[in-house]
Amino acid sequence: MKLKTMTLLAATLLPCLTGCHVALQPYRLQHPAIDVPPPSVSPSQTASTNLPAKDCVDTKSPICLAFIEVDDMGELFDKSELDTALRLIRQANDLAKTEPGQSDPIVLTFIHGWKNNASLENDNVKGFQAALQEVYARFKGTHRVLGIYIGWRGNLIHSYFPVAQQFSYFNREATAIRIPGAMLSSALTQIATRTHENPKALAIFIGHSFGGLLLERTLSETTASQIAEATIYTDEAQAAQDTKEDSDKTLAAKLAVDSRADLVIYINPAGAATEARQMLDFLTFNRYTYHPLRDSQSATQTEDDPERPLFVSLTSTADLATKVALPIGHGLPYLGFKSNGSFRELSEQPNKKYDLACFDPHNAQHQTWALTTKDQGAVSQGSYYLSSAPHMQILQSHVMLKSVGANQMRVSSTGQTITVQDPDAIAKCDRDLFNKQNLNVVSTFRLADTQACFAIQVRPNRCNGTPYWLMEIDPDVVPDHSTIFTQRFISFIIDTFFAPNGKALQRLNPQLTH
Amino acid sequence: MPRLKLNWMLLPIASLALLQQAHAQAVFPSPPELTPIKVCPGAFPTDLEATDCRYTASQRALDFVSGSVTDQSVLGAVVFGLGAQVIQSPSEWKRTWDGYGRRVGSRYTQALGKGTAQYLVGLMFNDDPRFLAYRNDPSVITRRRTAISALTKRSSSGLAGASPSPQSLDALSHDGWQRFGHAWYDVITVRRSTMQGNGHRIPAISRFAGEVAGAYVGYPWYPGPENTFAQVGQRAAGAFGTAVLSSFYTEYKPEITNLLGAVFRRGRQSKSNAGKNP
Repeated sequence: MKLKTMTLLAATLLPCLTGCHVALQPYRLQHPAIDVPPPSVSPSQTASTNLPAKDCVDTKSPICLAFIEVDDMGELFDKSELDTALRLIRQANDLAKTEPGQSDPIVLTFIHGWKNNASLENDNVKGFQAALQEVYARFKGTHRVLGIYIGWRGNLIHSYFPVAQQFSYFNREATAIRIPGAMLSSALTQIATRTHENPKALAIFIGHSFGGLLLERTLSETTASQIAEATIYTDEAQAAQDTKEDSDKTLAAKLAVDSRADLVIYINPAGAATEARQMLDFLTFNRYTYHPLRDSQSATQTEDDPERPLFVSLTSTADLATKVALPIGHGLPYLGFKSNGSFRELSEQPNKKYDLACFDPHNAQHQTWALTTKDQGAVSQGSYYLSSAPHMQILQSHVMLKSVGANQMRVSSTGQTITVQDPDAIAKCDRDLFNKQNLNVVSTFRLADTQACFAIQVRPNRCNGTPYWLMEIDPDVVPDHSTIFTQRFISFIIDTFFAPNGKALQRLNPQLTH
Repeated sequence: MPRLKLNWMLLPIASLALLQQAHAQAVFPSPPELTPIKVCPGAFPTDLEATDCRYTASQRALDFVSGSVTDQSVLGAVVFGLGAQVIQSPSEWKRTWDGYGRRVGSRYTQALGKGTAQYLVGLMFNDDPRFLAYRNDPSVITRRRTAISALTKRSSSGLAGASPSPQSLDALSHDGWQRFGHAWYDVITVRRSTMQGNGHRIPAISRFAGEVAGAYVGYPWYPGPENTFAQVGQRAAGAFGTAVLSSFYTEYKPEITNLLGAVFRRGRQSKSNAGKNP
């Protein structure tokens, strides 16, 4: 009798369990690109995104959003989605070239994270649309903005089942690791190359949460190859004996540069720091610095030509998902790797060393050095596996300072308070006034709503001075893991990375030098 | 019984918090030259996804189903039922599968009853029960903005050397009793759900109704001695405690995150290598 009851109960519950899955499907095949209406209000006011979506067929549309969807195995659902996105980029570039008064486009490619997808009602889709409007408004309509939303099955379980949804963590992490491959990597390369058919157009890639992990795994290998190729061809062009060889090598170097993004942003990335270590080592070993504004004609570094990041990895200090859930989630696999002897430990023995190579072009004592012991801050390989990269102080290149009084700034990641001698620096939120006190601030910004002043400072005695910037940011800018489509965060991104020193970032012969 | 006493003791604190919030909102008027602030209850300021601040019917239904019907409430019942099984509460139910089933069933029914009452009463009052941290409260943002604006003006008019008013400095700080008071204030009041997020505060009737309904719905399950007025009150107070915890978690989430983060943090910069800011 009991057996019968249990069987009946199981038979009743089984359909419920399967019914809580979100089906594997494309959402945008019928409408692979939609028109996003430009905000009709001032930038400080929020534009509505609840209007019915129109296809982006009019080349005059200043904001368009295209979708590219991949399945659980990393294959495209339909190549026509990629073709549509590439066609839109070409149209925007052609317009900038032929029509007077048309501006160079900004192409923003976004990969969402866990619990999201490309469905009509998805919050990330709505948020990304609003973010495109905000970017358009912040540049006062001077740039055509094209968004490309890369959708994958980030949401496996319906939100009516919150506990089961949490347990989909492992499954979705495995998917985010599995998807990167030839399809997505070539799609991103094509997007960057097509964008750079216009030499002043900007290609920005953004990944959030598992989307950050997915983007990093997709890009790392290809970007490292592109950087290496560009460096080799540039060196060979300089050493070339005849003009033809020189021009061939220069062209090859330019093609390699054009096939990568101008800036890659990881927001609250949910990947282990072991993912970032390889790229950091690559940039460190080759001593790369990045000058996106460098004009080869002048070739001198001026105040208008500051060092900028090629990769930025940002995480909120209040991001519980990567600060607490990630180490817990990685706990079991860690034990497996540990028992297999897969992790390297700190050691003094020559054949077992696991140092952290450091590089800072502005370090007065030495540009390169290595951290070898625990006292110096070096950690075992397993520790990198148990944390996301921007949460690791030893990898951080910058810190965020927040004004907490008339003459006090607080370091968001450590809570340390700094007294600023000149209160005008905070009142005016002026980078130069901060730097008069040797604070080494690279940029400042104000929150539009509270008017609070923030500053980005070079981390004192940092190990990482590469173009891969890593930092923790304040909860007043990003309050948690998921809330990223906010005016506050977009202001921070634009003021810090797109308008350094108050000047709009333009792509002029970007140079990675070493 | 001690829980009831504790609640009576906490009532004056909550009243003080109410007074403090009312005072705080009265001291600083919104500066006329700055753009109006829109903060949706429960949403982060300037969140672009929160264009419509209403606590919509679908959001309310999702919160009800996910919190009171499906796996979350089942898990809660299973875990807390296990705890009750260990301490054998109520003592009339033995430590058998039958006893465990009753403990799980009673808890699930209470969660369902609480959620249903809160859903229905909330629907009637069209309220928005989502908690909001002090620093994200529109009135607090307005005060902080006014203070910073005043400091900036003081600086640009050449009065930088003069010390700012204590009120301005208070407004720039998130610390102190105001946050504690705000967490209580958020428990005992909710906002009216409006498009702009500026709905006025009303007593959290839906929340109270939910706690009471949840406690009473256990009536048919529990043995007679557990169904006295005091026992039911205790169950309601216990359930109310979870709402208090939730509000305090929202308020102190950055600190809690930092605390938890410190436990799991890897790759600290060594003290000798950390350097000091000038």
